[in-house]
Amino acid sequence: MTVNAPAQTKRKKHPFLRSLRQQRELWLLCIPIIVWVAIFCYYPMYGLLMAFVNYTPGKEIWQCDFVGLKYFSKFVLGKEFPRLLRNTLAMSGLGMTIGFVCPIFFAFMLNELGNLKVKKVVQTASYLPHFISWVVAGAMVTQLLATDGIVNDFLMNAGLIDARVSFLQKGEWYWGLYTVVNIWKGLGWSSIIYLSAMSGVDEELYQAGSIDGLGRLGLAVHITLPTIVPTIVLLWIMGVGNILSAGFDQHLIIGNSLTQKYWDVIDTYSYRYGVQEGYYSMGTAVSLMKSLVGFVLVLITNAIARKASDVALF
Amino acid sequence: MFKKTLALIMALALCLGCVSAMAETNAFGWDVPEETLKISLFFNSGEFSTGEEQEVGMAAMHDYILEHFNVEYDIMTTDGDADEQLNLLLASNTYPDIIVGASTINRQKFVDQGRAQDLTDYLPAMENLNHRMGDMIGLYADENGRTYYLPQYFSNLMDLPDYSAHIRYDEWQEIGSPAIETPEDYFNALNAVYELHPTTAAGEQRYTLGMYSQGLPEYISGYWGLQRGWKVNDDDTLTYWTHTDEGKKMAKYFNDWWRTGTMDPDSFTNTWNDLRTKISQERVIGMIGGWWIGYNAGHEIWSLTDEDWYEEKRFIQVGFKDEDAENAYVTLKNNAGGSWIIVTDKCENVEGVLSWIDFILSDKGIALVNWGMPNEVKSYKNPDETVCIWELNEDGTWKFNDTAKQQLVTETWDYNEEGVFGANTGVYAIMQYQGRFDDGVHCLWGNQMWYSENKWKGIMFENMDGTIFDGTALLFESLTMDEDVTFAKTAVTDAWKQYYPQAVMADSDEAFEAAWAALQEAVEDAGIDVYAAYRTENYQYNLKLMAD
Amino acid sequence: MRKAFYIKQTPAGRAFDAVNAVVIALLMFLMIYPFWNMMVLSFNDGTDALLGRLYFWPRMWTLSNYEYVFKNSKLLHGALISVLRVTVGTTSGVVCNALLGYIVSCRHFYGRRFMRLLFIVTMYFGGGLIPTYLLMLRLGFMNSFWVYIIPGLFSCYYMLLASSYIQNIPDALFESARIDGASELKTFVRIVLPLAMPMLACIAVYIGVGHWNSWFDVSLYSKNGTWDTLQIILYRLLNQANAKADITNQQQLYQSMRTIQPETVRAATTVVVVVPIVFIYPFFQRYFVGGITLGAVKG
Repeated sequence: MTVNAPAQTKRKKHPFLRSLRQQRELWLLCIPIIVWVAIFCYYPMYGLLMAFVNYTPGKEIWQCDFVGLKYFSKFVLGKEFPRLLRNTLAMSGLGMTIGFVCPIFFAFMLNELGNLKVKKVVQTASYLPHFISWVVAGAMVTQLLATDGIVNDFLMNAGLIDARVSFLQKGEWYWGLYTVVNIWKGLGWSSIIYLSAMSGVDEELYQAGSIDGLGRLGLAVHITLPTIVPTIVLLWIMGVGNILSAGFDQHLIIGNSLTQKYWDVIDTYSYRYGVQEGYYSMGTAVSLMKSLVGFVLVLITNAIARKASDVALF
Repeated sequence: MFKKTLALIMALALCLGCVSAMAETNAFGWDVPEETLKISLFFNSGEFSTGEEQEVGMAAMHDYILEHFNVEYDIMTTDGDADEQLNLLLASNTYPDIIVGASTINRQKFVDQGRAQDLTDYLPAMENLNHRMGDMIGLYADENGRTYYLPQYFSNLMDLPDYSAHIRYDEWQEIGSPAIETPEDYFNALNAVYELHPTTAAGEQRYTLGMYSQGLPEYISGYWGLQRGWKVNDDDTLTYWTHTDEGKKMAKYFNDWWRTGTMDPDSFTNTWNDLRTKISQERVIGMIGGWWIGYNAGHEIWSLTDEDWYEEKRFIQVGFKDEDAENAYVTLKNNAGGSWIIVTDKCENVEGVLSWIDFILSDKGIALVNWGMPNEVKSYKNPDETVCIWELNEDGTWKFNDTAKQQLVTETWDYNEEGVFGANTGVYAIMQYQGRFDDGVHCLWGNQMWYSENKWKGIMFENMDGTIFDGTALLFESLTMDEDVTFAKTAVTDAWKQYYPQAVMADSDEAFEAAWAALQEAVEDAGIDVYAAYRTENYQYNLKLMAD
Repeated sequence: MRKAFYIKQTPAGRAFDAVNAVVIALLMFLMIYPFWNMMVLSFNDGTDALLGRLYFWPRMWTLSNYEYVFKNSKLLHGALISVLRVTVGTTSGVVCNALLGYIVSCRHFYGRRFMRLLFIVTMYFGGGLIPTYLLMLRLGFMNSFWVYIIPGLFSCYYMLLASSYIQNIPDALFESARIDGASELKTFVRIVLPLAMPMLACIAVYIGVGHWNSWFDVSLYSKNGTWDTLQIILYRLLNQANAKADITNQQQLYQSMRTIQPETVRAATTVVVVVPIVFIYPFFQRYFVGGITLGAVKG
């Protein structure tokens, strides 16, 4: 919550200087932090300049030929860009809606489990997929959905289909498949945040609500939900900033050349044409572009959130 | 008088000093230097992995080389992406003396920035190098005749194929051991097997053909007379397979096959691991790919897991040629290499380093860094026993160990134990000559010798004879690719990977024609003219270079 | 386990409980089965595993995969380094991020928005691998333990998570502490840390697992092997040259594909990495899974 510090001042002294004096302990604490972030985060940002020159490792950035916006325009004006953008937005869109909501639902469902031991076991089990690398997880998925795989066997035996379906070759289904697999992998892990937020709810609030006549659903909606709304808004705004990132490893494993039209996203393209060939400039240009777009989106969404509710990033 | 004696004594002392300073030559034929020669290198092979027995072997090899040669290796490897690591080393100026295995692009970075040393003047002294390479050594010089890099591996075994088609020996015998000389023969043979055994013993559906890597059209088009996907026209220009009749014929052949419904439906989405599983489950009757896939996925597994395994239950390689094709250029060997060795500006003893490299190109040098340490080596599995791969005598004569040879020839060699000899990670073999020794028998790979004594290798060579050609002029990249060409190359690969499967999987003739046209359009959009222009220019340049 | 005595049980509630149980059971199967499959593979012979079709139980039981993993002489050392890294890294990370989160939640603090913005920018803009690598070199972090800790002390993401939780702590508590003359640091330690436990436990889990799993920075900065963690050793054990696209010489490809079958070893290493986490996790879990539930069933 960002309530502005009261700006009344009787004297002409700037509120900043006043704060330096009055809140000097906080400022003192900030100093090492600011030094840290300057060294580890801001100093390396000179690397972003790579996007504007024809960079070769071994030469300093200022020694390389300046090319201006060449790599940006090459990428954005390239033939593939509309398709890449479409795929990226489609998959991250699905992730920001369905994929975003699922861990929340799961947290609520978990919260409703009666038995504490069961709850703990379920919660522990739910994050196991997070630890299986994409190489392994992807291989499992491809084996399951192969034309002669188990899923097809089951569907044939159950008489639900006449001919085997090559799931992995159907580009139109790729986005759905990707979303489902992503949810499966991240559900338990992401729900940890919501669970921890939920456990901060004061029990008295539940009691009061129950007395007021709220049933279980009512309690969940009117007591639990508002408590985690700040967390939800926070995570969602941060997610919006990453809207141009829509997976990478998953596509290389679950996707194949037949579905490439649907899974090729900005990152995979940039990797194939940039990094893999050793063209750092192209990769940096794409990354800078994503950063700018993401950051601007965050600023906008943040402003909206601040006006609409109390919750915002800053 | 006194002065004369002094002078005489000094001269004598000098002579004696010379004699003792004269390097002792060891059994390998290497002049052991006074001062330890440091070989500090970066091994550009990513995801470097070592099992325990390999680590033990590598450490033993390091000490062995230090003790017997007074040469000390200092090896840097990387667990992640090697190119990325090399670029980091370059950007931070912390790279070592030698880079082993740099890609062409990365090599050029060093050369262009003056970080690669000029080796030209040292080359004539390298006897073994010149002996092995002959005139090819001229290929690595730039326009001014200066040489800044050398190939990491060069030359090839011209009787060892790279790619082949496969069929199971026992099943082939069952259908009457027909001759397979054309693509149609291969199709008919596999179908004949399918008639007899449409399902596995476990009742699962079998496929007549399985593929991986999107069908490898660039390589397989060799059966129809194209060279690595290029048609070499009479005027020495190149046309890409998508725009040739031969390429279309190949696609039609597979399309007809696809429409019979007996091909693996996941042929174009299979990775090698997927196909391997299917092969090992005996669900695939034939496949086209590397010469070894039938080994790796077939009898090497069955001999260990199948109680009723018999020797004939294995894949053999078959070669064939389309009737219209002049030659089946299935295996094109690039003898001039594709990855590079650079001696960087950090190296202070270029002559020493090159003399060591020259040594490891001699017979005994190759034996040492590719087969491993000679004479008895402690086994890893059974520490009380010793194993041996080759024997070296004091007087310099050597021979391959008989027991090891038998194991290799009868294919009972334990590959999981070879690490202990110290060589199978490849880090010590800076430069590899991949051809045959002068004696015509030995080479650097233990399992590619004495073909005549192994029945199966014999069959392979008989069948694949006539499919192996020297493609150095076509494949060797002597002109550097610029950004636009690299871009076009990636785009063209992207294009055929998406559109070629559509053509093969078309369900009618009209659909096939449409898909083929779409493939051509996609490849054109991707910039095939840019890429083809480069390859043509490179090819013609090589022809000229090699003619001199 | 307290019973929520004030919740009335309704038929709708019971029906919901039943459906909930079924859905969760299904989810459980989907979550656990792949890992179970990993365990099955890890206890199965490598060559036999290539034949596929391993579902619920090993077909050819063997301990050779685990032997292969544990026989590695460097494993113990690596495990110790990993434990050290996780302990130091998690503690420092949690404390730092909590402190930062507190600072940016202080309503009266003038520099609040500035600090937030300062960090949020870093979440989206970064210089890339080369400048970071050069920086670490210059700071002398090559082959040093501190390269694991110091660059990871603060993170915008955790700062925001921590602050969103801390903001919910009633102002009254802070006011009274301030009136009592407590310094900010003391307030932080005495009030914030205990009350924000659930979120801090969550952050601890995320940071801890991050440290436990990371291998890329180890591969870059631990060149002489002294600070190798468990993950990198397992990663090395695991890596075989899986069909590299640039090896066109098939014999070389054949050579590199020859040795130990990676499937089952990969399974064993996955198990070895995950099992410690599963055992330690309950210590953190009790902070955020527990307490009351809305169902009236005895625990």
